[in-house]
Amino acid sequence: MFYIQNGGYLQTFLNLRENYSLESMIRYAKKRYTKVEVLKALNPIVAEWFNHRFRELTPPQKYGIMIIHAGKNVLISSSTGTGKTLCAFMSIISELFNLAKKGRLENKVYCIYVSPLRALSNDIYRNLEVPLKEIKEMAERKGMKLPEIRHVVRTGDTLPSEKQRMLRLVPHILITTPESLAIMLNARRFREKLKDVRWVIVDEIHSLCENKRGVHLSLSLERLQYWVNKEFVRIGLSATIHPLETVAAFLVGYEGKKMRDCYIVDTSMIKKKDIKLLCPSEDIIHESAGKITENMYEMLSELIKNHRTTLIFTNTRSGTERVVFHLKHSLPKEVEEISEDDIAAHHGSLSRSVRFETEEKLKNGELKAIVSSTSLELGIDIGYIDLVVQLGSPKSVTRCLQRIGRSGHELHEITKGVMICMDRDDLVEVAVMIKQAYKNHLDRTQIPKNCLDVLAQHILGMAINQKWKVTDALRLVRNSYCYHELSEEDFTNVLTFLSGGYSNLEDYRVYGKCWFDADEGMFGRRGKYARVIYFLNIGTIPDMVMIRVCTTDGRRVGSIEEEFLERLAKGDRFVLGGKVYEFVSSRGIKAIVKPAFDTKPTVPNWFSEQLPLSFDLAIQVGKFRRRMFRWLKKGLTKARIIERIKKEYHTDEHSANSIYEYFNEEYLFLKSCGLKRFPDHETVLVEEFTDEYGRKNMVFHFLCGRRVNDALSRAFAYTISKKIKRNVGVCVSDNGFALILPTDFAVDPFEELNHKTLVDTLKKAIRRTELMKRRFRHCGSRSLMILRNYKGHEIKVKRQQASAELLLKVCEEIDNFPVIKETYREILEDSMDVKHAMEVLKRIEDGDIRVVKVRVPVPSPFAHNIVLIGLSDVVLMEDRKEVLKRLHEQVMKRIRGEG
Amino acid sequence: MKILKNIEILEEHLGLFIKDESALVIADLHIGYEAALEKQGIQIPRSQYPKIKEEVKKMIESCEPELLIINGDVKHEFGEATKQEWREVLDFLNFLLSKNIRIIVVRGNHDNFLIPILRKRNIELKDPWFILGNYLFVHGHKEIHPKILDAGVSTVIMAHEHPAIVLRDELGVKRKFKCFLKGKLYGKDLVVLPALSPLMEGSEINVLDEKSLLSPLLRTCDLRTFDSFVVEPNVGIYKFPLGYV
Repeated sequence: MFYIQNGGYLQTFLNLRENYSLESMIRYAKKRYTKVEVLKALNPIVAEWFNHRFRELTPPQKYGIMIIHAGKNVLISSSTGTGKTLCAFMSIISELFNLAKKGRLENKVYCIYVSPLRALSNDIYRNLEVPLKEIKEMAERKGMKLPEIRHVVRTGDTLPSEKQRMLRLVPHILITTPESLAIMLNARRFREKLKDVRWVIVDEIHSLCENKRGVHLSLSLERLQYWVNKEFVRIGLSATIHPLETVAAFLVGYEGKKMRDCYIVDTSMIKKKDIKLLCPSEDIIHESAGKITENMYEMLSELIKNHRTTLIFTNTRSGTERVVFHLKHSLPKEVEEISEDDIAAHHGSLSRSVRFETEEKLKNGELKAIVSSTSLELGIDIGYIDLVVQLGSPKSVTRCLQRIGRSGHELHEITKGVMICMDRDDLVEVAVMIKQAYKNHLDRTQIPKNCLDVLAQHILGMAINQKWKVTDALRLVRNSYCYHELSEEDFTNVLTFLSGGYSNLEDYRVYGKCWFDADEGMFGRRGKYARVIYFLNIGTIPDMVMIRVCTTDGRRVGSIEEEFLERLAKGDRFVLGGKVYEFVSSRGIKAIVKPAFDTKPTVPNWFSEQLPLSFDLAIQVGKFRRRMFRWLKKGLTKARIIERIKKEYHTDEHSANSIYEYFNEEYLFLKSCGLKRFPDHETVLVEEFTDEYGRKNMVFHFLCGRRVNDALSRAFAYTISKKIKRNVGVCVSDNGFALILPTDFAVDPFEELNHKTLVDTLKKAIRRTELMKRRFRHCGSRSLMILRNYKGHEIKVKRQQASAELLLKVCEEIDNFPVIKETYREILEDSMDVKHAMEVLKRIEDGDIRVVKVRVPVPSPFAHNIVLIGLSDVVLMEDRKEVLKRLHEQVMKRIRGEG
Repeated sequence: MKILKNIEILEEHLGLFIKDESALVIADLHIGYEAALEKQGIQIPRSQYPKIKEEVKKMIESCEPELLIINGDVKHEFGEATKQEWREVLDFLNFLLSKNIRIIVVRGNHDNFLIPILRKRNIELKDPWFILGNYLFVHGHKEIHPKILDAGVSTVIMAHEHPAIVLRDELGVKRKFKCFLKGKLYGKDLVVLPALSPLMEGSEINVLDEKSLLSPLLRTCDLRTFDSFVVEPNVGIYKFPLGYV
């Protein structure tokens, strides 16, 4: 009766068909233990130490310690500062001391702790140092002479000499990263020391399970399980995430057909919340941008002054730098006690030493304000923070709660968050988000499945270690949650690819990284380079060279990727950080631009991968739209509507007023166009207008999240492009998308596209986009087709010599080539959300979602942010003949002096 | 399409046909390029050579030449020929000989170790150039002495540059097309061949500045006075004056 869970979401989750089997294997921990009960179970000295240090058990400890003690798998979800880590280690330390006391502590690894961040590894090392030392001292005072329990960090930074020492003095607790774990599985001598691993802890599992790093880790865990003698206990530690059942399944995987058991301890919602939405201007639509920014900084100063330490999240690195710069400049002038050094930035591109120094200062409570993009989302021990400020929308309820959860370090304290928005769509989105956050309605996470590139890496790793029967290897791989439904065909295709089987017979030797005998169903290692290739190219994070972008007068405005730079020519205008710049020149890793704020971008914004608005939250925004339009239609007074927004959505007066004005303008505008239905979660509004260049713009107000919009926009664009035989521009935003047609064509994309044809259409649509080329290169690199490091040389990605487009063409000629298949899968399922896109189309076909079309003289207020962002992509016409003909016509016009 | 008296670009193919000499001209095959990619850590299936062979076969069928001139860079590897290069180059020569076509190879900058392979079939490597009637064939990676042009040469035919043009449409998208170039060099007619290798995309001739051009010969020309001819399979030939693109 005491167990804690997320209300109704579990029920809806269990109703999902594919997960029916999870129900029995994965259950919530129900029994809450008292401190006395827990301490009685532990080694007496360990218990004494705990009793001495802590007055009571924290909520996760009440549920979790005894589960681990009983040797059961567990996923613990809880916010920082709730004793999660100690909860995971308590029983393990106790067991190790028991062994030590009996003189049975051997020279081998008992526990592996995996964390996504190296910084976190070092934190954990220090946090374990104290109990291990104190418990040993306590024992010594009682006259017991115990051997040392060793714990060691092993990451990519570990020196060879240190690794040598680990072979002699094997750490009992090994702290590492996912990549280093994978390497260890192929370390000839060290892996012998892993034969008896009893516990594996995966920390920050929420940040891993959503991406390929997590997929990679899940296979490492199964390979480890195959290697060790007995089933080890899996312990997952997570911040707020939903649904926990899926994350638990990801953690434990399967044993053959049966999912392994796992308990869930969820105490993530236990802290009280105080979240508010603030707007720096009374009327954000009509206020000047300069004034809004000025007010925002004033607001920020006030908040910082009134709190001990404030953590500020921005959505981009350049945003982080701008805010830090401004605060350092203005705050010390306002408040005497605050110096420039009390304000710091923390993000991924800072050097390690600078970042470390900042973290130390933060832990010691020496900072007044710290600004971060994403790097402080994860659980580095960040000490005392009493306020989190979020600038702009964090795009999902889960992320909102994860970020705000960084405040109020002590258990009984309230987590306090202030969201400041300076854009009208952000205001609406965040207002809705806050309401959802109070209700603990989280967005659902998605775990990538059947990634063939990650699989290729692991198969090579497996082949290097031993000879395999294909059936055995496939069984191992299918034990991972991420590959449970992997087809045998896909598996053998990857093997064929790795063994060079797609080349002429004569070339097998050159390309084969492993051998594969399809008739015998066996595979294994080949050649001396396979091992080197594996060690030097392991991992899932693609290589990206970032180019700094500065203005002609030397001001830094942000950064772009090298690949984007290569597509820029002098005079091209592109969007960076929401503003338009004109490209002037480039020198090395620096690009020079000049502001061109009042002009339109000329180059599609290919690589801006911003945080996408989640599907679940987008639908809530749609529902909010419906409420607002209903109130407006009913003729509720402005004062009443504002009162309601303030109360129900926790906003200040300014936010409520701006939201009201925004909706009222849209309402009046659409009404004047004769519309009776307004855009919401069940009404898709399509606005058509002609822009100043004579191009036809079609704006689709689709409220189903950015990833669905990404998919639908490309599919529609392709359908139209095929019909009108011209290229179609695509602008994608969180609240909809726009298609740009060269001139006024009459088309109805809904006629041509339905949920059954979506996947095929989408594949054709993305084939010619920049996205495809880029992702193909990433997948090729993960699949070890394009090596980052070969025979000891770092290889720079020189696209002039081997452009992704050419490689794609070559590989496309082979049916079912795994790298191509994975590229499409990654784009459709991870980058886009094709499943929900199908669902949305189906609902339109069934009439559950209505489509309303309207011809407008100018774009409606809701459409402004969609058309202003500039092109995100262009879906190219397939027919090369038509392309060439058109381009030729254009040039001929110019020659005749018409263009 | 006829671009000069007696010289035409084959419809839909990256080859040049010289009527009065019954000669088909191709260039920059870069056989064995996959092995070079391999050294850069890019491992792709080997698919280039069969396509080159197929393409040349079609060209031969369409113009029925007595002579085939390869204007440099038969193979890719600068160093000793790889196994792949030996195998594929020999196969290519055998294929041409089986069609009763005389073969002439002009030396390109990549052809360092080509002689032993050619010798197997008694083919001479023309180094550094080859003159046939009024035509001078040269790969184009080195300067040529203007004096050579005095001896009755009307037209210079070169390669090496891998010319292509980049066109941008109204939505800002760049597209690249391989092309032939036609212009003047030291007062003579000049034709530049595109790379036959499907793995060579080409240098963006209308975007690059003069200094970045590969060929020292082209660096002396004013490319804006040149014409480019885009050839696409199943599409045909389109002429784009470089001064306008």
